Amino acid sequence: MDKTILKGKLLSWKTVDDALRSYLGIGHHLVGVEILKNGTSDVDALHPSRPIRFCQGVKRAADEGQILLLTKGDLSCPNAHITLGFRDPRYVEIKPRIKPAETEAVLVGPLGKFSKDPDIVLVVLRPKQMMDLTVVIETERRTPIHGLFKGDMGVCGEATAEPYMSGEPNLSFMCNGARMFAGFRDDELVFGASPGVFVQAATTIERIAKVGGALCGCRTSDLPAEIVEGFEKMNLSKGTDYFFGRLGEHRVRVYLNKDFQGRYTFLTVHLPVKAPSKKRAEEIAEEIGCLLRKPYSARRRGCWIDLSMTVRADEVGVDLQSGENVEATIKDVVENMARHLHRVK
Amino acid sequence: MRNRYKDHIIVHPIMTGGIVSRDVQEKLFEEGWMKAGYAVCFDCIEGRSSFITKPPVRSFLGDVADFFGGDVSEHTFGCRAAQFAVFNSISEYVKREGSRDYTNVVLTDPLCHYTTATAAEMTGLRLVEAPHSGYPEYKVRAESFAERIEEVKRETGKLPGLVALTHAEPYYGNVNPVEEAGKISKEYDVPYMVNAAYTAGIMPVNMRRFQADFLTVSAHKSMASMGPLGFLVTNYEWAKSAFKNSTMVTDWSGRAFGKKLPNIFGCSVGGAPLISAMCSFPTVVQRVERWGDELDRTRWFIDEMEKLGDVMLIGERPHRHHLLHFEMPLFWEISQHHKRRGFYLAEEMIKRGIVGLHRGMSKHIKLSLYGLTWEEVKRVRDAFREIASKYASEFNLDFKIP
Repeated sequence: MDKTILKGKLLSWKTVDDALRSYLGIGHHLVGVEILKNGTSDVDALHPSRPIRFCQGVKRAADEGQILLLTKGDLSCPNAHITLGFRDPRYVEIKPRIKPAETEAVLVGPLGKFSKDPDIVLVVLRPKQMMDLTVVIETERRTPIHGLFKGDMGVCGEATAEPYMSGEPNLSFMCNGARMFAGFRDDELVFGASPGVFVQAATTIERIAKVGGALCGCRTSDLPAEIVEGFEKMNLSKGTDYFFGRLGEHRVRVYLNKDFQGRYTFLTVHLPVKAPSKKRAEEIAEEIGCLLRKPYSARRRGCWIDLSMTVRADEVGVDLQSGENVEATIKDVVENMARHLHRVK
Repeated sequence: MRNRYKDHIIVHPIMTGGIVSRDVQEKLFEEGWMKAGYAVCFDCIEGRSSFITKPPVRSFLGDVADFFGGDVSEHTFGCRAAQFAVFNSISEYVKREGSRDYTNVVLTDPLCHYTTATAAEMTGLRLVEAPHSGYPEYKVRAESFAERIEEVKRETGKLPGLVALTHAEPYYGNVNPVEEAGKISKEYDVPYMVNAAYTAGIMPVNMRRFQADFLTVSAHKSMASMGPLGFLVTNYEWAKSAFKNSTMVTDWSGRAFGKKLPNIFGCSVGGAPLISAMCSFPTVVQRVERWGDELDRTRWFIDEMEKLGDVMLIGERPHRHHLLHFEMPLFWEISQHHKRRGFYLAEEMIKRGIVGLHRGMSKHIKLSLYGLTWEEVKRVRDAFREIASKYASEFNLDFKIP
């Protein structure tokens, strides 16, 4: 079994097919396409009983799970002869097409039944599903998907030959032939890409499914990723909805308070200090409370003294989104608290 | 199909209040209650499990309502189904008789259980949260409910359809100000639900004292019962809509199901969970009186855990619930060196016969010691101590473990 793309990823083409169908909510299969240039003797698939269009073959693979081996004689659409590389055009150049024209046959079938890597994977989608798939692909790819389409030779050319030749994914709004003869609906489009794109998408979907970020698997805060990354660079690790870690010898917590409307507006720096007893904690809190000026405060909580400072982030020149001045402000605050604490201890 | 943990001490907060005593377990088998899924239905005459008198389901539901200070109760497929029934009633209410004064908003606390959110989602209601105080106590003030009600009034010109407050919230184990919020709800004349999944059957709960219209209860979380089983307790006023009988007549066959209650999916649990709750009920009534002893053990354990150094309870102090949430930089730092990463902690505990810590978590843990003896509580404490000592020394970490 040749699985070069899947190697080391613990996936099969069936799991890729299942992952994407389940995530996108697709009733039909993803379709694998293999361009065969070196004979078909080792291919275990049937030819259609009569000539069909390539897009019809894709439709049958997607809807009925048929695996079809299509030679030039099996294809009734002359455009597909050119786009899929069975022959060169005679008079004018036609794009997109598979060049050089050395194709002997094309294998089309549901992706989940492929044992070898297909050359191209096609998926028929509605616009919302395309949007969802794009988001998943872009998580890793980080380059916008460009669409090259002209409403002609849609499934065979735009969705299959174009990504085959360029290596880039492409989407097509199909062509009249695909709508009329293959029976694709008016609200469907087809997306074609190399199989690696779909493996990555399946892996991302699996990762998304595992992300919970909380004790019970539910998200406990909506802290933006950039803010979390910024704090992690300061060696402050994210807890449920706050950050903790060591700054020098001090164990620090930072909490970003929301205002009543739910905006991250305030910054609270905590320095929890454990006292040997509740009584001693009370004494320290009182002593240090006399030394501290607002916005600093000291408060007993059980055996703990919470030294804290809460300020409007913008008032102290802190930009929580960009991270500007966050680290310097926290360090200043912690040093100030530690100085006062040292005086009392 | 072996249960690897059948002899372990359970510390999972969603389990400890639901542990079924050995006596009751034996009774369930001896009496053949485990023989059929619908074991209570042999003598069902009226077509709804809550009407059954042999075994005495009907009177049991009356007892449950009494015990929690309500007029009427129905058993449900868990507390979530009870919440759904309330939310669905409110959703209907704001569309019909309450449409002039109320809007489709449920005002809730910011640490409510996810099932409160899903109940709203299922019934077309919008959740609005009153804020909490943030780290490290995450407390909710009752006054913030009044502030939010005013805000909803300003925005919509109407009152929220429901105030739904979690009695003890499931993240930090804080006990919310249910009585004060009840007073506010009454002042504004907004229907009021208390979700007592983590408290009813554990500590004294009386919905009349809370001035609540609805109380939702989890038997498998807090009433020493098998699951899924919950209760919706309400007053006569709201029972009319929450427990409204089916009015459906099918169009061709002309069938009707007049004794079924659509809000609880017609007829609720009719097997072992219900019987187990009935068998455990006398013990539950008694154990609530000993809640103070449970709190003593819980608070002792908090102090002991915090002696470990960089371990701190999050949530209110003094703590008033058995669900404990610790932040554990110490144990997290160990995980950074351990080949099993965060999984080491739950695994080490299991090796010591203690199960229930969330696998993979070491930065924060939630646990409960509810129902454990002093010896068992000490065993849990010792387990944490041993693990901390072992790895602090193995990885040469800068922590002084007592």
